[in-house]
Amino acid sequence: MKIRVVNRILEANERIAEQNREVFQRHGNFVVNLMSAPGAGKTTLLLRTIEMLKERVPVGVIEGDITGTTDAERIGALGVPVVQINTDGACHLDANMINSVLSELPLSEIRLLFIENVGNLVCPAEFHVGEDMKAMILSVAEGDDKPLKYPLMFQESEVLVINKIDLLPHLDSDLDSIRSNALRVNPSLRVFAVSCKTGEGLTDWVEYLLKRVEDRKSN
Amino acid sequence: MHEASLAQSIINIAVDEAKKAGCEKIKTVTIRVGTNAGVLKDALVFAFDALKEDTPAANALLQCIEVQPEGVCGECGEVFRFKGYIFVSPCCNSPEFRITRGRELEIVEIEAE
Repeated sequence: MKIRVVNRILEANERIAEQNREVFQRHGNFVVNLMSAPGAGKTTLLLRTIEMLKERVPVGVIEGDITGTTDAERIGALGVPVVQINTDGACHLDANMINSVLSELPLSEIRLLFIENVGNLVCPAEFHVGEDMKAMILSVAEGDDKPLKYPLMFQESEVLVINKIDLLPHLDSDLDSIRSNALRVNPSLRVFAVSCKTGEGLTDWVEYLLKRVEDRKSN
Repeated sequence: MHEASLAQSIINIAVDEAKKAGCEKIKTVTIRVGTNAGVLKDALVFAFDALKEDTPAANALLQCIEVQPEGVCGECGEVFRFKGYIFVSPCCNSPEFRITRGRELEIVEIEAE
């Protein structure tokens, strides 16, 4: 017999992502899924961001890495709740991994929850985890052609943080072409150019985040 | 993408649906795959064949229907077809367009007995 079904193959992940979203909404968490290639500066941006806003909004972090706890230790040193997920080889976080650590965080005390995804410019963009915002980082040293070569993450993201702009004098890539290539792929992308080393540009990014958290609260 | 874990999901869904319908053996599983879904068809079939052993889908054939991408221009409303990745609509050269087909990844039919 023929059985007609229309079943999205990624539906299991979508269903759990929806469950996560309900948990976050119940606790009033605004959730940011932070993605980038390895080495673009996710952890450093998180550290700087948390230093700047932790007195203004209660923060929590879920750290995703293939192995190790160094990132969680760096974040934990700032005195914010953090839980580490080790994916044991998997190249992205999925909704189920997030779901399995939710009980380890004091969610009702957190307003802004960062999920630091596994360093990878491709796969994390394929999997929703229940976030309110996808934000990605591209460091200037990665080259200005990356939005055109790896479009999906740029298309899925609300925010692009261009990091390490202090390195621009030493590189051939330039900020304008990174920005215009990214906007070609996703015209509604919010772009911030920052240096986590010098602090340049970070205030705009932090204020944008705070505004998004506020907007969420008033809804 | 992740063909092996997708193949495993396809087998799980097919086995569940077949059981629900009171069937024991799956003959074919038909899926729709958009050419922009980031899935390699050959790798998916290879993984499906490797993972189906010792399941009710052990002798099942995986049939893939390819879906060619389609979009709608946000400026003139024209429906257009395209290949690969595009960043502007071909009619108006506009970045304001919506992709309506081509990223599907879904099971549409299972034949079982």
